[in-house]
Formats: sequence, structure tokens, C-alpha cells
Amino acid sequence: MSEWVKYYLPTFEEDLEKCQHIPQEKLNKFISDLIKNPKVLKNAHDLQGPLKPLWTAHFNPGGTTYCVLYFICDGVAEQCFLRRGIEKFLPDSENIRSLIAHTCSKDKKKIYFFRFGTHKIYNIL
Amino acid sequence: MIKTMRFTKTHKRANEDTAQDVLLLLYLIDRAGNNIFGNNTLDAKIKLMKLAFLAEKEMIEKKYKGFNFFFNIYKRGPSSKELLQLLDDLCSQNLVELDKSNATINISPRGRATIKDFVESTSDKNKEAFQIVDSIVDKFGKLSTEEIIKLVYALEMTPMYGSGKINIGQAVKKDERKRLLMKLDKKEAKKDVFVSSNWIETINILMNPAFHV
Repeated sequence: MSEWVKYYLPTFEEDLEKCQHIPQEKLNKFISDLIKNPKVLKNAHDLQGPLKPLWTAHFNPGGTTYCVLYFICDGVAEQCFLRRGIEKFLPDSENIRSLIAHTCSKDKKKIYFFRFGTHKIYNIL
Repeated sequence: MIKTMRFTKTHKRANEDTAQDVLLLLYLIDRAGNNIFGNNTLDAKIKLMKLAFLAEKEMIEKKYKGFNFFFNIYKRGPSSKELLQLLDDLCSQNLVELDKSNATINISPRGRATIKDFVESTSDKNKEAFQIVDSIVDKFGKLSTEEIIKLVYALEMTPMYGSGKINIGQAVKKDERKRLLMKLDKKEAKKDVFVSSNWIETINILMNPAFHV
């Protein structure tokens, strides 16, 4: 049986501070659903191109939709963000290196939460 | 006196339309290599706009929904403020590089990684759209801005939702502010550029300054 471990990275923590009006129980429920089924959660997307190792899911606690950017380490070292240089996307690589350091293990799956921002579809009109 | 632009036909942009425009424009810029340049940055932007105009025109004639930009006749022929805005955003999001000293527009490594993956994952479905862009770049990509403008001015075409053919050069001369192209309605399209929901979300993240990580 695999064990899922969650990590909040600094961007996620900062955004959570800005969004203190979000009911904690709704966030906890969303995160526990996400951990249970990170790839089939409603509105889960595996990102493409340069964002390929990352996933997004939409969280709507009522009124505003937020976008959670996350990475799943499921033990396959070749696919891991460490191999893909995901540190480039993080604002302070030095500071978070200890947070993201891990050994890929199929028995100990991890989800890293990168950013939690308001989901706003880019539009140019 | 400033002429007011009023158009009876307009369009609303969906997320899928923006994703199609971003990806096709990246493809065009990548495919053109180092050939999008001019005497100054405006000149280079005009060249890019004319190439996109010719590609969109051909797609619409084939009832293929790909590029979705408004193209209106302005002082230097068919131009798109939507495209210029999008280009600025592609530069600020580090997907395209605008070198002001050499007046060139090039794809960035991040932009290339994006379009390479998109082409590899959708080449079977979007082959025709890529071929249209390829043929436009092969025919006109190496011409100067002035040479392309001259060719475009010689074109005769019927504006979308308009009646009767017009000569583009004559319309510019007469200062006729006509809308030539706009988004092809899905109901009228025989085919469209396939962009999955994962790609729409990817473009949303890549283009959104809030997610500039």
C-alpha cells in the first residue's frame, strides 16, 4: 500500500496567506480528494510542453475558482521533477532545495503543491 | 480627424481560440527561423502580421478554423491589434524574443519547447494547419516587409461577411477601414485546429502573469 505525503512549497504557503477567507475545511477536503486521486480529480490537467511534469486542479470553495499547481512523484525516477529541472520554475531554488530533496520511491508517493492562485483564463480581448 | 471603427460583425474569444492563436503563432515564428526582421521593430511586427494574415486568409478560405485574429485594413494594410497584443504578451512571458537592436522576432527556448511538444503530440490531427503555415513561410518568409506589403496590396478578396471583392491596395489608398478577417464560426468550419483541454490549461498557465514561476 502506497503512502501519500504532501508538501506545501513556499509559493503555496504565501498564496494561502493571501487567501485566508477560504474555509479551512473545504481546502482540507479538496486536498484529501486530490491526494486520493491526483490524476483523475475533476478538472485535473497534466500540463504540456515546458510545464510537463506539473499538474493543475481547480478548487472552488464557493464563488472564486483557484488553481492549484502540483507535482506528483510516483516513484519513477526518470519522470521525476528532479530529472526534469523543475527547480527552474521556482522562485528561490536554494531555499526550497531541502524541501524537494527526496528519493523516488514507489512505496512513498509524494505530492508537492507549488502555487495556489486565482484561476483566471488568459484572454486578449 | 480620427476615423471611428465600427463593425457590425464581432466575435467573442473563447479559451480554445486563444490557445489556437498562441500555438499557431509560435509555430509560425519558429518555422520562419531568423527571417522575421525589419528596418525597425515595427517593421518586423508588420512582417509577422502579414504572414499571419496570409495564413489565416488561406485557412478561412478552406473553412479551417485555426488563427482567430481580427484583421482590419489600416494605414499599412491588413493589421491586427489582437495579434500585436498577443505578441507583447508572448514576449513578456518569455516565449518569444524581440531583439530591439537587430529588429528581429525569434522564438525563445521556452517557446520552442512548447511548440515542439505540441507539434509532436498533434501532428496527425493538425497536419493541414501546419502545412498551410509552412507553405506561407516558404513562399513569403524570405521577402522583405515592403515586398510582402506590395504582394498583399495586389490581392483582391471578399471581406468575411462582406459582399463583393475589394482590392486591398485600393482600400488602403481610399482609407476604407474594412474588416477583412475574424474568427471563423465553429458552425461554418469544416475542421479546426485540435487543442486538448490539457493544452488549453497549459497555455493559460504559460501566458498568465500570475503564474509566472
